[in-house]
Amino acid sequence: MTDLDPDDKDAFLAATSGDELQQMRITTVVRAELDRMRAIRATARDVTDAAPGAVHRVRRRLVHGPVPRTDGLGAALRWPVALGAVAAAVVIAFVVGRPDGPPIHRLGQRLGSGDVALQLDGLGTVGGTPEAPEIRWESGRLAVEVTPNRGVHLAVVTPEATVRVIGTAFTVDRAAFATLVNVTHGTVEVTCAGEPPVRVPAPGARTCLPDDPAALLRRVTALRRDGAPVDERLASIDAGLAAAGTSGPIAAELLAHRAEVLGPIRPGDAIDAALRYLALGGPRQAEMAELAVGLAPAGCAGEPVLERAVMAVPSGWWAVSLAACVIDRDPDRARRLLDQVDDPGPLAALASALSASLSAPPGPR
Amino acid sequence: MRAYRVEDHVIDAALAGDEDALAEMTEAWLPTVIQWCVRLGGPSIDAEEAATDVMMTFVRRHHTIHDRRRVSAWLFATCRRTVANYRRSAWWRRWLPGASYDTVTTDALDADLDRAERADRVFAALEGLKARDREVLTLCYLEDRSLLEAAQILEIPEGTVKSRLSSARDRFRRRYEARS
Repeated sequence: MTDLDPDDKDAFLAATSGDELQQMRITTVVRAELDRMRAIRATARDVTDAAPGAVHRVRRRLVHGPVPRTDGLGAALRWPVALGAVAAAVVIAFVVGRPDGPPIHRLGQRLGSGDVALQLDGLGTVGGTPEAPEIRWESGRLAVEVTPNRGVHLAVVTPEATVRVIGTAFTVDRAAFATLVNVTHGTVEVTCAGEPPVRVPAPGARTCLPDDPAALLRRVTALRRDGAPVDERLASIDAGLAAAGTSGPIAAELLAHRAEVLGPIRPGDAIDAALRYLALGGPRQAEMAELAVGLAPAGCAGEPVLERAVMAVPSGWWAVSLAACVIDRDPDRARRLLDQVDDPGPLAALASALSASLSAPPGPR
Repeated sequence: MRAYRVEDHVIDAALAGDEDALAEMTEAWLPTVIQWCVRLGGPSIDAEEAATDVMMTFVRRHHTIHDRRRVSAWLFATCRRTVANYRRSAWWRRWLPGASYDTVTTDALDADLDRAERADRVFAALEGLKARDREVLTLCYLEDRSLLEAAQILEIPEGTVKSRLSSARDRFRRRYEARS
């Protein structure tokens, strides 16, 4: 990490004698350094994130096998297509037409029996009877057209929703653990998990979210991965927190997501979420402490946040900042704070200067 | 991108060969494994194909994991080996006559020129690191895992993670800023 240059060190030493202007200068330099480091890290994370849709594409490769390589070293299909363990959960099997007809495995094609037409681009399984087929849809898009008044009672079921159809056209999109039903003709009855059925006429749409906290956390994680808009992420986070309550690992993880999302737009709320996370004692203590400290007011105006951060993670570099705030009124505490720091990181020079100041013999009063 | 937590009984069932549990484990770890392949492999490999190979290996050889606490370390080691094979293969393809060099263009390196330039700088800085430095940087710096968690995944002492991280972070930052 870059040390402060000699001019700034001198400024710091002058600051320990109580010159507030000098203290502000030091704080500004340190904060600028922290901001630069934070920006590099954020950039590195952002550009090394997997491309949107990567999980979906890999999932499809696992089921259907990879595309054969066609490079100059020779094409080879290196893996067999059938994956017993995974295929048992995600295989597509679709029966169209007469009940005694052979199963047809298709993807991305239009299938029809005259009364029911389906366009599939995703993963699901089919059960039920030809008169009352039930499609269990896992992910991707399913488009359905059912001829009315033919006695066909089709149901599409996802973990979040049950869609019942009697003569209509609609699409079911399942992604990021939520189900979106868009009705283009007729009316469907959509039952979201944990809610009563709702009739949705065309043109209309209804989104069903999971109703259990763990699934909502999965959705939040998926939305983050897919780069979803902040509003969408926040809605799911808050729904998850409402379902999870105020304690437990799921609530903690949701609070961490909330802090991360709100940081750039509502820093006060982000700090609140991060501090609530720290109180719950989740595994991301250091990350949340650093986030809270980074968003807090500069210098000793942020002392209350520094106190909470040090309480949660006594060995973090923020203990150096707190030591700088308390050194005048409680030098012993400042000494203890400095002793427990693992890695002062960007505040290495400040830590050295504070330690030197504490070691120096008291001057004449 | 972190795997959501899978219950211990599900992990045990998966390692014992239960198909539903294996599918749940695969689904849970897929995002993390893909991310590891991207960050360890860089743009010269097809990270999604590498991740597919890793998960296929898991499905086929899950029975060799005898302790549920070793799952993350096992998956990371498999990512490491797979990515190393892909990188070697990519290097060879560059030199063999008639072979096509797969320049992987992902959605991440898109028409956004500024982002593409930043991506170039980041990956160039990562390429300059030793593999072991890149690993601790990925786990601790990019994924915010604790020293203890990284030590468990890499199966090295926590102190070793800490010292590698400190020097890896410095080297990465110097290389990144040198290209600005």
